[in-house]
Amino acid sequence: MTNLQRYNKIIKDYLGCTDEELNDEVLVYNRYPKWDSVKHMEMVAALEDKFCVMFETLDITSFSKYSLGIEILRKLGVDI
Amino acid sequence: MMPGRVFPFSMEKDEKDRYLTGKMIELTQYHRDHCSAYRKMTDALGCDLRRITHYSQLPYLPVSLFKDLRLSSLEEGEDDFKTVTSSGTSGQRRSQIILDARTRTDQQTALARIGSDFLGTRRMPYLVIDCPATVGKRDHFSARTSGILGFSIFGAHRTFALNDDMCLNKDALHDFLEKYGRQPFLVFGFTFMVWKYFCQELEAEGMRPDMRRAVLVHGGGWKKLADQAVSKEAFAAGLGRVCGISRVIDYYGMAEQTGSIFFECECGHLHCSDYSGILFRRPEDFSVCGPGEEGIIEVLSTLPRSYPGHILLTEDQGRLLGIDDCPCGRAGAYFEVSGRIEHAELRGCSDTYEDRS
Repeated sequence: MTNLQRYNKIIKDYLGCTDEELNDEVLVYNRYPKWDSVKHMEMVAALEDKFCVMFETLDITSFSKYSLGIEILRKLGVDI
Repeated sequence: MMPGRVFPFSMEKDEKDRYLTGKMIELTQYHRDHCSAYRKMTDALGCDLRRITHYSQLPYLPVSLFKDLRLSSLEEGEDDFKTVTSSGTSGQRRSQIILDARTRTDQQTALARIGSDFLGTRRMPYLVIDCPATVGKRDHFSARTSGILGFSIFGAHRTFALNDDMCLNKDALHDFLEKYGRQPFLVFGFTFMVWKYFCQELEAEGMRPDMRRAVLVHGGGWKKLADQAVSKEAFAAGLGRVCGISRVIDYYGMAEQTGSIFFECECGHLHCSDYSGILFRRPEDFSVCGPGEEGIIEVLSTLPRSYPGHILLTEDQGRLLGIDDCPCGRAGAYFEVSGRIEHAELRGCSDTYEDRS
């Protein structure tokens, strides 16, 4: 499994979305019905666990779209 | 938008006055266009936006109005919103605040920037002085739920110090301190809960956990503690005695106004960020108080768009201590809150758990 696949799996597991929905038009924080503040923190914790990183406070609020999660993981040194 | 590391205490008085006046006129116009009840109220108050030269001249709504009215400035047909209820025990009426996605997101960004300035950008292990059930109800967002979830962005490994029956979860506390107690960690709770269900419980149980590395952030009002004759100083001394907590940060804010959260700095002053404004009004004629003069607190925020809560007259009193010259180095107004105004309804965030003892 590649890191991108691992990322996508976590997103799908937590938000209950399909492969087709894995894009910035659909997956927007506070807009996609299941992506609320509770799910958000659970998802951050799962990503941190899986990739052994720690989001900073401002990363958590920056993570507001599908692709921004990937960007933050890259910033934290994950090869994705 | 990738919110960068913006320093949220940078605007000095002249710039801030101009900025806030412009923003508040724009928001007042926006809410007049989107909320007919708000338009009628501001019409009755004789609001002529062309003549406004300073934000203190704009009409303010009493915060208690949100208990009577569900005010919305949502676009026609917009159904993507959440309702947050303010504190208040079962016998009391609660405010209802309508938050759309944009207002919620803006609020989190503001909280992250303001809070990071006091707590740092690195997240710390997070101990919540509350019970898991408080965040369990997804359909009902109380002020306590919002507080715990909101502050989660500063923490990791969230742990609840209380069981759902509000008694101390000694195992959870012990495990948390065992794992994280030797590094800086964040403790968050509402003032009354921290005192009654944590500090007093530890004392009664004869427990003396080592929490010297903790930073305690608490808010939600002193009313109930003042009733029990617990002063701010006694609160801090009690925590120091029982568990060694020495870094205590009080904050002031209310569910009715998103974006306005005022943290206490190292000098013990509450600070107004670039997102907010603060005014003090004389109870006899509602004119603006001079520096140091006690008055009713008015809060202003640049964030509320889904409901007309950008200018509110609170039921608290306090006084302006200074502007731009706090020794901590933050620009903007700093102030203190002295209590509730007389005859105001008894209220305060942490009052929401009814005392069943």
